[in-house]
Amino acid sequence: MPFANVNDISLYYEVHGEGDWLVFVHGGGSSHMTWWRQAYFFRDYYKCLIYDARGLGQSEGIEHAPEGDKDLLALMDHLEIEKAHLNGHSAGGWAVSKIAQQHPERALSLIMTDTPFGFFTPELSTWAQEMLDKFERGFDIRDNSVASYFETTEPKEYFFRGMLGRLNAGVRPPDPTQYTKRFGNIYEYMRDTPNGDYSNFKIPTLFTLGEVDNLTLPWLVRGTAKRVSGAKLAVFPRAGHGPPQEQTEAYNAVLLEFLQAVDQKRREPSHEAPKWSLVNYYHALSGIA
Amino acid sequence: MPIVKIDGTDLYYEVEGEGEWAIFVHGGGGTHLSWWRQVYALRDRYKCVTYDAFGSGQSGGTSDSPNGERELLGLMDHLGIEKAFLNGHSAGGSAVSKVSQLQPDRVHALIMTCCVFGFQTAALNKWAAMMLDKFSRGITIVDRVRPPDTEKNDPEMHFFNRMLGRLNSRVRPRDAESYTARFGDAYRTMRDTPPVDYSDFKVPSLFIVGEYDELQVPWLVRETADAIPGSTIVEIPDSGHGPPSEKPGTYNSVIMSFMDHHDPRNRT
Repeated sequence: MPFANVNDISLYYEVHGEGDWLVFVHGGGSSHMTWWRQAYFFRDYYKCLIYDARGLGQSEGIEHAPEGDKDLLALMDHLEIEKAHLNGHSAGGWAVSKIAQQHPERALSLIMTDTPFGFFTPELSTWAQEMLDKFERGFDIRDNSVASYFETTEPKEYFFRGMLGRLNAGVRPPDPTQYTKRFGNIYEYMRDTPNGDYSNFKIPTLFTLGEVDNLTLPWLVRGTAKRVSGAKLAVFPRAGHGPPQEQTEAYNAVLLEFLQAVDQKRREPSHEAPKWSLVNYYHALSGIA
Repeated sequence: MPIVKIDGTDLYYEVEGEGEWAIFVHGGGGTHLSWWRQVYALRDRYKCVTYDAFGSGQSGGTSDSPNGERELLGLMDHLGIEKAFLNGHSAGGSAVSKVSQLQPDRVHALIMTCCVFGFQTAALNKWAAMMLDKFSRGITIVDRVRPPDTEKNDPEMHFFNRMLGRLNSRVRPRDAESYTARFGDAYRTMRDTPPVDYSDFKVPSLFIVGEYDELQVPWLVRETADAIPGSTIVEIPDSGHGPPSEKPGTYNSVIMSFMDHHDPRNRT
C-alpha cells in the first residue's frame, strides 16, 4: 500500500480513478476513510487523492492541521500533481485554502466543506473565542459532529461512521479538557490573527454547510463565504458538520456539478452554470446570495 | 387505515409526522407508496399526507377523466387543512397546480416534480403535439420513465421501484394504442388550449426536472418556469422522470431546502 516520505514523515495515501486531480483532505481526528463514498463516486470522473493527514490513520507525526498545507504540497510534488481541485473538510480546510491563497497556480478550484479555516475574518475571531469559552465549560467536539437527524434517517450509515471515527482512538485525547490543552493555541491563533482581504480571490470556490452544523457554525461559514470573492455556498438542510456523509447523494451531486462547471469554464471562458444548476439553486437559498 | 368518500368515491390516504401540512400527489401509475422515502425523511418537520388518486391503489373510481384538484380539495377539507405545501409528481402536478391557481391562499408553496401540468403555456402546446406524434408512432410512456443505468447502479432500488409500479397492474394500459385511446383527449386539449397569462400567479413555486427526463423533458419545464413569475427551477443530475425514487437523497435535500425557506415557522 502506498506511503510517501514527505517532510520527514511517512504519509499514507490512495489514488482512485483517472482524469484531472481531485484532492480530498479530511478533518481533525479523522482519516482518508472519511471520503470513501466520495472516492467511490468521483473516481468515474477524476483522479482522486485521499490520504491520512499527519498524526492520523496510518500516517506518522503529530496532528497539526493549520500547517497541513506543507504536507499536502509535498505530497502533490511527490505525486507530480501540478494542479488539482482541492477539497478540505473541517480542519482539512487549512491545507486547501492556504494552498489556494499562497500557490494559486496549483489550484483548479477550492471546495471548503463545512470549514472557514485559512480565511481570517472577524467572524473567525469571534467564533474562536466562543469555542475557547465552550471548551472551558466541557464542550466536546465529538458529540457535535453530525445532526441527530442523520442517526434517525440513516441508522446504518451513522453506526458505520462511528466505527470509522474510532480508527484514531489511540491518538486523540480522550477528554475535552485535554482537547483545550492540546488545541487551545490553534483557537488563540485564529482569534488573534489579523483579518485578510479576500475580495480579489481568483480561485473558483464552493463552500458547503450543514444547516445545523454545531461546530463550524452557520453564521461563521456564511460570513466567511460572503467575504470570499465569487464564492458559492450550498447549505444542506438537516445536516450537521458532515454533509459528505449525512447527505452523500446531494453533496456529491452538487460537488460534481461545481467541478464540471469549473472544468468547462477553463476550456470555454464564457461558460456560466445555468440557473437550474444545483449549485445556483442551493446558493440562491443559502442566505448570502 | 383511513378511507374517505370524495364526491361519492373512496379515497385512501395516510398521514405521518407533525408540523405544517405537506401533501404529496403521485403520478400516473403510482400510488401513495411512490412517496415513501419523502415521508420517511420529512415527517420530523411536516405533517405529510399521501393518498391514492382515483383509479389507483386502494382508491375507487378511474383516472380516465382527471379532475385531481377535486380529490385534493376534498381531502384538504375533510382533514381541515387550511394551508399546505403541495407537491405533485408527473400527472399529479395537475391537481396541485390547479389548487394553487384556484385557491392560492391555501398553499404555502408549490412543488412541481417533473411536471408542468395545469400550467397552460405555449411550451405545453408544443410538447403535447410532440407526444401525440410519438403515440401515433407506437412509442409508449411506460418504457421511457427511467434512465437506462438505474438498474445497473442500484439494482435493489430498481427492483423495488418496479414492484411499486406494478401495484396498479389491473388499471394501466401498457401498450401505445390503448394509451392513445385513453389519454389522447387530454393531450389534444393540452395541445389546443391557448396559453394562459400567469403574471398574477403569486404562490412560490419550485419546478424540478430530471436531467434525462424523456417525458416532461427539460426544455418544457424550463420554458414553463420562465412563464411563472418568481418560480425557481432546479435540474437533478443523472436522473430521469423519477428523482423521488431514483435520487432520493438529492431530491429530499432539494425539497427540504425549499420548504424550510417558505415555512411560516421560519419567518420571525
